[in-house]
Amino acid sequence: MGMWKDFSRSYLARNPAAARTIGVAALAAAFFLALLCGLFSNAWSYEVDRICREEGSWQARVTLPLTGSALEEALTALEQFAAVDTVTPNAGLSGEGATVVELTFRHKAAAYETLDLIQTRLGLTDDQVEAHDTLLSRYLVTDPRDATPPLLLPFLLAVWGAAVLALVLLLRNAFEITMQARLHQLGLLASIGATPRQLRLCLLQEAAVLALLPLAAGTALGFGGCAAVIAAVNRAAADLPGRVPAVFRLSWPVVAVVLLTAALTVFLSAWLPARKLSRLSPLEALRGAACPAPGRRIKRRVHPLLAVCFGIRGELAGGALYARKKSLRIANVSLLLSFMGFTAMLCFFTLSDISTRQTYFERYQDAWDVMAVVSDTGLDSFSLTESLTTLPGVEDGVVYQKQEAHALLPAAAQSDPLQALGGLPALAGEDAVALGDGWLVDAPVVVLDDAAFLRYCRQAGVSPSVDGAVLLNRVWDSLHSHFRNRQYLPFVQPGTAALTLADADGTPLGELPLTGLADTPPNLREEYDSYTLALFCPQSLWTRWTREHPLPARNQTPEVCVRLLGQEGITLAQCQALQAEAAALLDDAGCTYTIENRLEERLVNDRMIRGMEQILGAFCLLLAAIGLANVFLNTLGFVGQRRREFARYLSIGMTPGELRSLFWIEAAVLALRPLVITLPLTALVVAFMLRASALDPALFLAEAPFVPVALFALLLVGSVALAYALGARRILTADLSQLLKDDTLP
Amino acid sequence: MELLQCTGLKKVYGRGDTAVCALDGLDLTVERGEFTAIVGASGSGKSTLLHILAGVDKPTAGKVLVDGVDVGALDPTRAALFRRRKVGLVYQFFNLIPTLTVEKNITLPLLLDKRRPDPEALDRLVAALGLQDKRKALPGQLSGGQQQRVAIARALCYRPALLLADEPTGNLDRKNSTEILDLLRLCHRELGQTILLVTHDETLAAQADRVVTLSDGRVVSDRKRG
Repeated sequence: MGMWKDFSRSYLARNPAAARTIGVAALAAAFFLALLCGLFSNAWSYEVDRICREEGSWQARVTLPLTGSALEEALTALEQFAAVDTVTPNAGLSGEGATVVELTFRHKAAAYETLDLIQTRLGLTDDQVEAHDTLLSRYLVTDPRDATPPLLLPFLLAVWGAAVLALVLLLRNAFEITMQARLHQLGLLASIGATPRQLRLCLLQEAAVLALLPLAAGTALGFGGCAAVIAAVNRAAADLPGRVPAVFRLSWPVVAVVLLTAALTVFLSAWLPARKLSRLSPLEALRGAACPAPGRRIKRRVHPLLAVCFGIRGELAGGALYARKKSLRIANVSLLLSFMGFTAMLCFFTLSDISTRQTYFERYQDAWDVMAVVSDTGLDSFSLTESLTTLPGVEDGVVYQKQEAHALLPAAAQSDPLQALGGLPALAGEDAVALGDGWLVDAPVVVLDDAAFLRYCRQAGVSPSVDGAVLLNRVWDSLHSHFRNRQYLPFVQPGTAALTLADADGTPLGELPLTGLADTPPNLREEYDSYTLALFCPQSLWTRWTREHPLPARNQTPEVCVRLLGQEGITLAQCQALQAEAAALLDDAGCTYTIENRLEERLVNDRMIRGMEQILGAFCLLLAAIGLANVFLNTLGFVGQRRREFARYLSIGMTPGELRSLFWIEAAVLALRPLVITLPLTALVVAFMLRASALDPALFLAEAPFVPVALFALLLVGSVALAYALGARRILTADLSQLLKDDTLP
Repeated sequence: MELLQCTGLKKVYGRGDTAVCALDGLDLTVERGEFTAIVGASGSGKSTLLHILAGVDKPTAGKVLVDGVDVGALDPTRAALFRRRKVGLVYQFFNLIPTLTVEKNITLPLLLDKRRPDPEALDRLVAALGLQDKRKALPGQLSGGQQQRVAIARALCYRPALLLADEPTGNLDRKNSTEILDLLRLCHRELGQTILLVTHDETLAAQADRVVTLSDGRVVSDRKRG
């Protein structure tokens, strides 16, 4: 073995570049591997912790409608299931005559199967058995009966797996590159009688010496980087309400997996080329196996574009790229994906931001600043209307109740313009439910306190009276206008004085008198579905009417909405103060409610998008880094082979300038390919999305992410250019004529 | 008329104690249309001479004139253009571009000059070298003898003043070696091509009009045949 050790050591001492290539590749691969695995495992455990914190750590719940000894028996039966780990009654959820028991399983994979067995054994109904789907799905356990199981985790796992595979291939590439350079030397060894086994051992030893330290250092740096990323995320999200900071956890199994994967890759990377090598004859190895044996089928790829643009030099550069296609694959794929991902992400966020702003924040800008929804309360039992709408700083306040209902619309009751178009089905299509000689139409009822209702009547030009409701008499003309720029037709005949409300299945409940028809709804933060008959009803009338015409049970869970609008140009602080005051009033009254303010919601929304942009952007950068590492490996590796290639060009009279231009063409192809593929594709997709969402292209162009995309492209192009400049310097500064004189090299 | 003239050509590699003198004041003249073989033992300076003539290497001292051009004084770009247009180089290991077809390999010097090869001249050259049915093949799909023929075709494509062949049969069997030599002779006879053949094989050299023997970087004998 001593001789091999000496041979390797002296080779490495004389070829520091090869040693560096492997060292850097091992360091980079281990770093990214550790970073990715660390981030993934930490994100996963944070998510599991979050679910356990918010929903509890139970894996299944069964409700046992038993008491006394029957309950005891059932509990014992539960404990006897082999897969069941713990059985814990939950006193908080249990009521009289029914005990809720929480279960955990020894093997989570058997959770659903065991739950089925439990249900059969204890004779429970479907409602009495519940699995913790979200928690279990984080362990990749999903309900076998669920036709659409959650795919997010498998998807993330696949992405992670692809990234790990890319890193493994990166490492393997580094070995192959240096191995090619070593073929000649190994051929020499083989020619003096070294056995394949000896060659393999020699290479493996060398790989171990070169890669172990960088692997360990890269792993340590990677987990360090992971801790830093988590700390940065915590800092960035520090003021998000209700967020528990993530704690970096170094899980030893993950460290072991990283080290093992990296070490195994190094071992395989060294072993596979070594095996390939041992199949070559010493002569082939001596010649570097550069020229394939005659008669072998060789595919030739012509690059027409390159040939047209750069003539024979383009063809030569294309050929050189094609010959290195395999080792450049990671670079090509990851550069393309990183740039495409980055561009697509930014365009998507820009589009969705414009759309959200238009449809939500700007549209309701003058409708609300603070909004509270009080659940399980009707307007008649809500006593805070006065005190809420007169809070200091409130310019306009409305308290209203929303109620689902349906209305019967006889065909003849439709307005003339609507009938002229062919009636409701012509506009609504399948959304129009036929009933008798008319249609059953959704009729959302908004109940306003009488004062607010009278104000609305005056605003809408209807004679103020609390004896009837106001109908929003408009239907979207979907035949002649787009949803973003709607035109409306009158829905019903002008003189309509009452509307028959009905049950969901069309059973009439009674007639609701109308005091008038309006073109515009009151200023509320509400959307009314297309083809619905929205009704605005004074509270006194609604109370009377529902007493006479009881609504079906499922429509009897009303909620009260409080809409407060502050002064024009309200600041975030004023908004928050108003919200706090409203919340204090609601708290004092013992209400169950949710409350939000427009500016803060906007802020949280913005920050969430920015956070997502940062995470996805970082992932794109990571991909780009992997691709660029591969480009550097390729330009700085393969030096021996490339020198021979260029010596050949030199011999047929290629000038130094032409030699350099070959590098630039190669670099341009590599760096511009992601751009050339991505930009037209993105333009097409964006154009399609703009069309589909009917957004103004000028709006998008004004906010399109040109600068970040250009910067990312510049980063890619600059890095590839740097890699090639360094490679060109290493190759062209050598005395190429010396190579031509060396007869042992082909 | 002289095509090539070397006077007091000297080439020293390295410095001080490790200096090696490859050419030691060599004088050589070659007439236009001559087929000259340069022979000598390994290390006698044959390949060094050839590379200086091709403008790949520069002499330490002395002067080389090829077709009136002072080759030693050329900068790298001019040297490359000189190599492309004035000399054809044939090597033992062919030095073909593996990613280009036979036809592209042959016309490469023309293509680098952005010149269109004359189809008729190309047809004649390809036919003369027996490569008609291999025009679209890649070098890797050819035998050694065929590859060397492509290399010769490439060297001749620009109708160079001087064809330099460095052990062109060194990597071939007997039959192919004879074929290649016959080809070189044909070029010389039919086209009047000036050829400088570097070899250590005396029987091969005997086929040339003139045999120049080098030893320790000097001409030790210069015989003309017949």
